[in-house]
Parts: sequence; C-alpha cells; structure tokens
Amino acid sequence: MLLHASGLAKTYATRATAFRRASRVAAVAGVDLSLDKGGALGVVGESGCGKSTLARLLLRLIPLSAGRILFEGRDITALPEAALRPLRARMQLIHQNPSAALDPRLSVADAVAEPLRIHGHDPRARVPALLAEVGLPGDFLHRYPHELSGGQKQRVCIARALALEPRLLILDEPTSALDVSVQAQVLELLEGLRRQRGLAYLFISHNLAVVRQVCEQVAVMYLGRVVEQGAIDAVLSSPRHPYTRALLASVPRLGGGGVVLEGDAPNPAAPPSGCPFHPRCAVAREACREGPAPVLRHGVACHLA
Amino acid sequence: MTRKLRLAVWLLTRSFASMLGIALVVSIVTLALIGPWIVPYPDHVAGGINLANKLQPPSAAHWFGTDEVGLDILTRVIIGARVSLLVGIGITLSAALIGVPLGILAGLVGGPLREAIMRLTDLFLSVPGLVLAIALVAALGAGIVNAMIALILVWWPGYVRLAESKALSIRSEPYIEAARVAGATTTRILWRHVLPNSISPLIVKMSMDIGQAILAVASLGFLGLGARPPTPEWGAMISIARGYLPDWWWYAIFPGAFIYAAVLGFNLLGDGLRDILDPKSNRG
Repeated sequence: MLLHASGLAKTYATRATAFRRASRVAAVAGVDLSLDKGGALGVVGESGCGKSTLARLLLRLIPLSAGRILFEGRDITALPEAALRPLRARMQLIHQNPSAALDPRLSVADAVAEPLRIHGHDPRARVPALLAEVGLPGDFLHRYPHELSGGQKQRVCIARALALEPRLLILDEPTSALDVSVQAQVLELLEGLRRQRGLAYLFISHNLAVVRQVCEQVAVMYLGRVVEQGAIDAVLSSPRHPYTRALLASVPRLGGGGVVLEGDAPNPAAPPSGCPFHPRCAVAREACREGPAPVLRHGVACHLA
Repeated sequence: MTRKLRLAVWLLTRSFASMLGIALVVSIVTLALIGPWIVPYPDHVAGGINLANKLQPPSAAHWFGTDEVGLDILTRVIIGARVSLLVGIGITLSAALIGVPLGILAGLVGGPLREAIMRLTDLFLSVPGLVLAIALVAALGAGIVNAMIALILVWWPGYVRLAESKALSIRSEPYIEAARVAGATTTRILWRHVLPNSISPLIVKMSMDIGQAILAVASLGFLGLGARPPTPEWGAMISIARGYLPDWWWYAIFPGAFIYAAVLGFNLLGDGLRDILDPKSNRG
C-alpha cells in the first residue's frame, strides 16, 4: 500500500463580521481512500466538491481538521514541515493551470532544476534527460514560461515533478486548462510515464472520459464526501449512486436521453439535512431527507442502493 | 537574454518621455560625479566672501551669475547636485531597506505580526510626510544628516505597503505551492520566488522616490531645516535667493531649474522603467 487515508476532513471556519454570521464549511467531510504502488485512482466530481482540497490534504500542504494519512506505511499525519520536506521528493503535485504553476522569472532549465538543487542533486546532467522524457527538445532549456504554449508548460511541470523520482503523482485536473487536441497528447504522455516509471496516480478530474482513459479505480465525490467508489469499468457500466448516474448522463452524447442533473451543488456552509444529494436526486424518498447522511458501504453511499 | 535586452531598449527608445528622463538623470549624475573637476571656481564651494563681485548677472565669467556674497552660482549649483543626489538616493535606499523586508514579512506570515506591522505603518502614513519630517527635524535639530534621518523615518511605510500587497498576491500563486511541493524552505521561497517577482514595482517606486526625496530635502533646506549655508544645497540657496527676487532673478532661477530637472528626470525614468518591467501596465 502506497497511500492510505482514513477519515480525512477539512473544515474552514469563517469569522463573524458585521454583515455575516460565523459559519463552518466542511470542504472535505470524512474521506477514506487507498492507493496501491503503481495504481491509478480517479477522483471525480463537480467543481467545489472538495477534490482539490483533498489533494492538498494528502500532500499535507494545508492542515487537516481530522483523519490520518499513511504514506509508504509511515504515518505522516503529524510530521512537522521539516521532516516532511525530504518526503516531498516522493509525492508530487501537478497543478491544473500550468501557466500559474511556473514562476514567470525562472527559465525552463531553472524550473526543472529547482527541486534537484533543493534536494542536493547536481541538475546539469539530469535536466536535459528529463525534458527529453516529457517530449521537449533541448532548445527549450533557456526559454521562459511566457514563450511556451499551455501544453509545453504542462510538460515542463511534469518534468519538474518527475525530477525527484516520485512514487506518487497527484494530478489536479492536469488537462482541463488545455486545448482538446493537446489534452490527448498530455494524457498519452502521462500514461506512458506511469508504465515506464511504475508511478501511482491520484487523478483528479471532472471529466469521466479522461479518468476512464488513465485510471483503474474511481471515487465519485459530492459535497466533500465519496458517494461511490470502485473499479472504473464497473462504476461506469453500472453506476449505483444516483449522482454517478446523473454525472454519466451529463456527458454530451449523440441521441441524448438519460437523467439531467438540475440546479447547483448546495452551499457547503449550509448542507442539506439527511443525504446531501437529496435536493437534486431524481429518486429521493422521505427517508433521504431526514436522519444521518448515508455512509459508504460496499462502494456506495445511498439509502436506496 | 539578448532578446529581452533588445525589447527593453526598444520600449525605452520608443517613448520620448523616457528618453528625456534618461537624458536628464544621466546629465545630473554625470555633473555630480565629475563636478569638482569641471567647476570654474572650485574655491567657491566652501564659501567665502567677495563682496566686490556680488550679485553679478550672468556673463562669460559667471554663466549663472553670482550670489549675494560674490560666489559663482554655476559652481555651487553643480556641487549642489552631489548633495541632492546623495541624499535622494540615500533616503530612498534606506527607506526601501527598512520597508521591503517588513512588508514581505507581513504579507507572507500574516496573523498578529502582520497586524502589528501594518497598523504601525498606518500610523506613519496618517500624518502628511513633510509635516512629520519638519516636526522630527525640529526635535532632532536642523542639519542635512538630521533631515535625512527624518525623511527616512517618514519614507519607509510606503515601501511596507507596496511590498506587503505584492507578497500577499504572490503568496497565493500556484508556483509558490509548487515550490513547497518541491521541498523549498520558507527562506528559499522568499528569496527565490517572492522577492524577484515583487521587485519590478519596487524599482519603479524607488526611481520616482529619488526625485521626490530630492524635492523634500530641498523643501527642508528652504525652510532652514536642512543643509545650512554655506553648504551648496539647492533648497537652501533658493531660501536665501527668495529675498533677492525679482531683480536678481538668476540667483533663484538656476537652483530651481536644477531641482525641476532632477525631479522631472527621475519621474520620467520611473515611468519608462514601468513600461519595461511590467508590460501588462503598458499604456500604449
């Protein structure tokens, strides 16, 4: 087991002001997940469901409200920042927007060399090899981010993440800021790298088709919770949670049909009673509106499944 | 690198105002550097009295005329450039050295420390700078060094404000998070990412502030709180020359023209630098 998280939660408290009462927002409300060496887990859900917060919790970039994280069998939940720093080499993050994830003042060579320098390696020999691995020729070394296209910038980010030979790559919507044609190329690159390097991916996306291409496992998130989890083929071919079914139906398809998800996700500061999905659920019953939120059991969190 | 340089040169030469700013700043800096070797009457710098020659209008022997004790005004105005430049640059650099680290610290760390730094800054900014400087000089005693100290004390809060707002916006940039993921320490993030990315507006502000500081020192000199005669300082010269207006106009006009040229030069240079360093704020 490479990564194991249990009961992960992140609650943001907003202070009361003259115009607003104090409130608590549960961005992530009790998520369990685990990822094997070399495995690939997709996390899907609408924007605002807590996917990105989950990624940052797993990397310990933001403090946890509750829960426990094991990385390579080691409990990193309470490790201080200084002890975490050497471990950072083995778990890397790819940002959604490569234009913002590269320091505009660093050349490609410096950006890729930075992690190597930090961890005390000589970057000279390895930077060109890393760039070649992500499909960038050597004449990119002395270019600056503003001279590159979105796809090229994302390749630089990937090279930077690979520099320290990580075991785990957390990808936060790595292709959603790219053109469709470039998306396919970057996905292909990511698949190839995973095979060659034996990497494990935690792949966050709102696009089920993209997740299907890369991942074997999938977790569907709604309002900070995992509502359905399982092997990607099983979940996509016979979704059990009404939300998963609605997500699948919302993928544009010739011929139309299926259920359409209506309305926006509820305000996480004032979540609905009972099952958090009931206001938008096509099959909700009286029991769904009251009582505790359903917990994940046999891969699905629904009173009716 | 050469491409960036060429772009910078092109951006500068394209604008008449920037070129004028550079020309003015370069002339004044050159005059200040080689002043002691080119002035026609080097012995007039330290003072002295030559009443037979007093208040002569501009002539071949005295291009800018002479003052009320017969000293050559051209000589004293050129040497005055040394005083003004040194003081202007000194005030700006010291203020930036105090203000920028405090501002970046406030923006990056946040919490009670930020509150403390920013409220102290507000306290200083709530009083008009020159008024506060006059009060401080009055307390410290008149003189060019005390005038500098007073102006540094009223000048640093502006740098805290600017550096803090830059640090605040950079702190939430994904590339800062990316640096943390790469294992960078807070010190490294500060030096390698936050500071280089907030340096452009600081350089622009510093260029403009040198002009403002020169004006402020001249103002204190004019009020009799800065350099004392016979130190050749532009503000102090105008202060005395005021009594000889309008009949002996050359005494006030030439130091005044140099103050004007210096302030204008540094302001235009600041505008030009902004166009180079921050292409996004380009006014076309």
